[in-house]
Amino acid sequence: MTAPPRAEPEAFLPLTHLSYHILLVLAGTELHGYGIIKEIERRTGGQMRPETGTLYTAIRRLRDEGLLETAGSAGQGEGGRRGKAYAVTALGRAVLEAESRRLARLVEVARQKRVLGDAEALETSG
Amino acid sequence: MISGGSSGPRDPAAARGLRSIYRRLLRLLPSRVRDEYAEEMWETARRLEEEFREGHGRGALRRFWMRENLGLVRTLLLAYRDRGRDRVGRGMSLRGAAVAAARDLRQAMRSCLRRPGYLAIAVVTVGLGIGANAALFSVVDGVLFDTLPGLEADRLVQIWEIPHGPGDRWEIAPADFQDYRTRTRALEALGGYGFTMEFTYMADDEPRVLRALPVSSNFFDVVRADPLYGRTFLAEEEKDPEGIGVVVLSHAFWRSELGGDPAVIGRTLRLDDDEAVVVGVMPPRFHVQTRPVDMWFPVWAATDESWSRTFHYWYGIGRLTPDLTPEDAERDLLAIAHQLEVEHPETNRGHLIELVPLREAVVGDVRTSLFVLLGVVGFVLLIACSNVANMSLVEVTRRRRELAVRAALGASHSELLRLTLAEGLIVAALGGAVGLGLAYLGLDLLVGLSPLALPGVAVIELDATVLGFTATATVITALFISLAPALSLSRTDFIGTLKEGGRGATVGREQRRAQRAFLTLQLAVAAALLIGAGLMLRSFQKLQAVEPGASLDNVLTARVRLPDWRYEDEAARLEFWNRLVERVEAIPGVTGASLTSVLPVRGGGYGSALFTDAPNQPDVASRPAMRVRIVQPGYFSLMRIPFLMGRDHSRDDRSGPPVAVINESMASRFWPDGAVGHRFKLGNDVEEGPWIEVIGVIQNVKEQGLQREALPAVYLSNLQNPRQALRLVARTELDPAQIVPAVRGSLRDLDAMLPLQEVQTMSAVAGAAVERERSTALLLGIFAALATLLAALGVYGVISYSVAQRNHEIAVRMALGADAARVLGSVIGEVLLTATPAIGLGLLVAAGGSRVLSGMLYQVSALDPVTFTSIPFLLTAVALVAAFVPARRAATTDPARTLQEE
Repeated sequence: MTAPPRAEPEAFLPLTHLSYHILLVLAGTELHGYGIIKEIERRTGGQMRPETGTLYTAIRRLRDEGLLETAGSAGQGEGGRRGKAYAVTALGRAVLEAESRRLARLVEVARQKRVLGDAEALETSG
Repeated sequence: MISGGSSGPRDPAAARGLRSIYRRLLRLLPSRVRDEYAEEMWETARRLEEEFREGHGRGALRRFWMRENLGLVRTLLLAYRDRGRDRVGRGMSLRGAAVAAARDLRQAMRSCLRRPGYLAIAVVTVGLGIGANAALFSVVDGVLFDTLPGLEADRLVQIWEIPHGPGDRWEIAPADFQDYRTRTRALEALGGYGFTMEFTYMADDEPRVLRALPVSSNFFDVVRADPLYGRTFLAEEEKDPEGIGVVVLSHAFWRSELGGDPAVIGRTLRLDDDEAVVVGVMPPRFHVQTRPVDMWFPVWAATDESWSRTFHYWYGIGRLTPDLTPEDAERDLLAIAHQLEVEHPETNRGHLIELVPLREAVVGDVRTSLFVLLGVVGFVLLIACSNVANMSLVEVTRRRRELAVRAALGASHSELLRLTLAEGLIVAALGGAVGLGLAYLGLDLLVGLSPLALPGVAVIELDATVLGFTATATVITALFISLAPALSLSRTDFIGTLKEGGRGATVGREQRRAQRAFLTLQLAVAAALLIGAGLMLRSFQKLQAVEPGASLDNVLTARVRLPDWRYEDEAARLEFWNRLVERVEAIPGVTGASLTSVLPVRGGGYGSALFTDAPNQPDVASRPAMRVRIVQPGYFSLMRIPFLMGRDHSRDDRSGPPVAVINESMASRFWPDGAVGHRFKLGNDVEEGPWIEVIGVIQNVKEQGLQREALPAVYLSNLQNPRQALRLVARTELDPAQIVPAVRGSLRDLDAMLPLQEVQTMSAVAGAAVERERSTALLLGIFAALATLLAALGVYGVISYSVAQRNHEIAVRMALGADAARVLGSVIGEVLLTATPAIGLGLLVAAGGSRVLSGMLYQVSALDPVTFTSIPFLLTAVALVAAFVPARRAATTDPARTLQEE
């Protein structure tokens, strides 16, 4: 089902909020759907907790676009649960970088316009 | 595919329900997405739930699943949208979808054809339901919507004067009409017509009476009707008080009498002794009245101020000014009516005005009958649908193994769902086609029997509107009959079925519940319809038993009209009438003949105000009105109407003082102590006209139909008031129809220019008077019988199936010593368990709904105890009979064999 990777990562931008979070969570690790939800919840301080349907719609689309792939069936400390773990592809990684840069530029603009205090701006870039 | 997992048994029911909805929704995902993600999503959701259950309160769990379900619904929509995009992207597009649909339909067709029995019964059942609907709808469409075609009839209103408060409608007096016409703002145009007039037209030596309608010159403009040829009337033509002048012909008259020749414009026609120039021909179907006319001619309504505010003979038709409602217009005209009250107190005091939409005025009270019947056939379709739904539910269960194999071979739930829908569509479409055929055949019958006393001007046919209606009914039917099996499918666990060895013997509780629900619906609806039909039937019986007060058997009637240009003086008329009676009495087989202006039951005639010599004379404003009839001496004895007092008119009255026979109602109203010898005067002016002496009192005769009580009436002698048009009555020894040629011959011998009109037997006249009641009862009876038959089929189906399911259990019980009677008893018990509450429900519905019928019932309460007690027994009996065959099959089970087969 994986579509041939499009050459330009910028073609995928902007990512939806949820897609960005998924790629971000999976950067450098592999997780099941459950793990992804828990991790997003943790990172956003409980502000964002996608329902299963929404999460899997995003996962399906990211996979179809070639930004995600399934890893081996063993996840990270998931106690023998069935199901696939997901990982970011090379293209996915490039898109994540491109999106992060785009966001950073936006934040830079915001900072120059003094929309943000410095402390808050630092926090979001994490 | 999606395994159960451990559900928390102590979770609140709401949360459990929501969780099971989540699982079902998962099955609806497109197969590719489902295969890939559904199991994983279920796992994830369950893990989140577990964590949630520990961490939060009880209500939180419900909210959790609610939120999950909402998300999932969105997911479903997005998944299908993405799939659609993929397909378009891959060049499959609409054509691809069409190809897939065609494949589904082909497959469904093959699957249906493998079960010809099921297909045939389902198609016929649906066909009956749709057929009844299509036929009746075309009548409703014709009468209620297609009447007055092309006249923009929604904007047309008829105007009545209300002289003595509500319920008493009079035509408008011509001078008043002119005032309304010039002063109204709410009506864009106001036109009108008078009473239909008759002229004799000689066609090929055969005299023909034609009906002509006097109209205002703007009549055709008001109703926005253009002529087919020529023109309509000019304003100045209205002013010509002399003769007919110019005429516009109806299409039917032009075709039949003038050969449909367009060159007819400008030709002169001879009508009676007058001449008229044809200026136009109207297109087919143009009519504004209930009874079609042959031609229209312009008249000047108001000629003489002195009488034209008291003589009410003008029907006003107005077109509403755009954006105004009939209520606005009524307010406007009422204001004018009040002005006229002030200006002409002597004639217009207390006169109000009422507006009625023209279509309502033309269609009249057929409307209620039609809507009741339309509702009834709707219910018949509902029963038919639920029957087929039940059958296909059983089918799905029976085919579980086949479906399970299909599923195992890779068919997804949604594919099987599509198959079920396609099957429903095929059954409904074939049923729709059969239904249209039945409607086509039945419609001629329906209209040919003239069962609803339909307005003569309605256009009743299977047109595009009816086809559209039928198509809609078919689609709804398709959805209805596939819904239950589709739901049942979505709950089926196919792997389990295959593991069971495909026996699929255990029907789910839910499915059995669905079957019972359908059966309850069918029996309840059938009960309600039977009650309706029963009420109408009882009412009709009561009507049939009504004594009209005259003997109507073996009496022939016909109308004869003497044109006044040839029978101008009274002596000539009387001479003619006397000779006609003599001639007809001389016909072999005729035992007597006489004349009357108003026949029993058929009604008609005119009323007049009157003064009496009674001491308590009412004041002028509330002077009573009387029905006035003219009869030939001997009429009462011929019709076997008994005298309570006094004597009949006699031949000697010709030269004597004016005398009258009156009926019982009138006698008891004015002279309860004996009316003979008392005197009265007819008319508006006590100074004018002669006093008329009462010489006899007859028993009341029902003249305005059979329902209405006899109104006070006076019967004047034709010898003293020779009439221009009368109805001949002849009593015969044998079938009255046989003397028709002889009567016609007698009339021709007297005057070859006079046609014999409206030849009928009196029994037919009486029959026609209850035609609407008869036909409504008949149709309601037919449809209720159809509903009952379908419900009985439903009972049979469900019980057969249930018995077949319990075959094993029954065999075991019989092997253990239960006897046949007990088995039979248990099946019957099962039937009663469903039928009793269902019929009870039906009675409740009927009790609520029968109020609609109450206006159509004669001397029968809408809650008639006889009907309401007998129908439940009848329907229960029908249900038991329907269940008997399968019950007997169960009772005669050979336990040894059944168990061996297992």
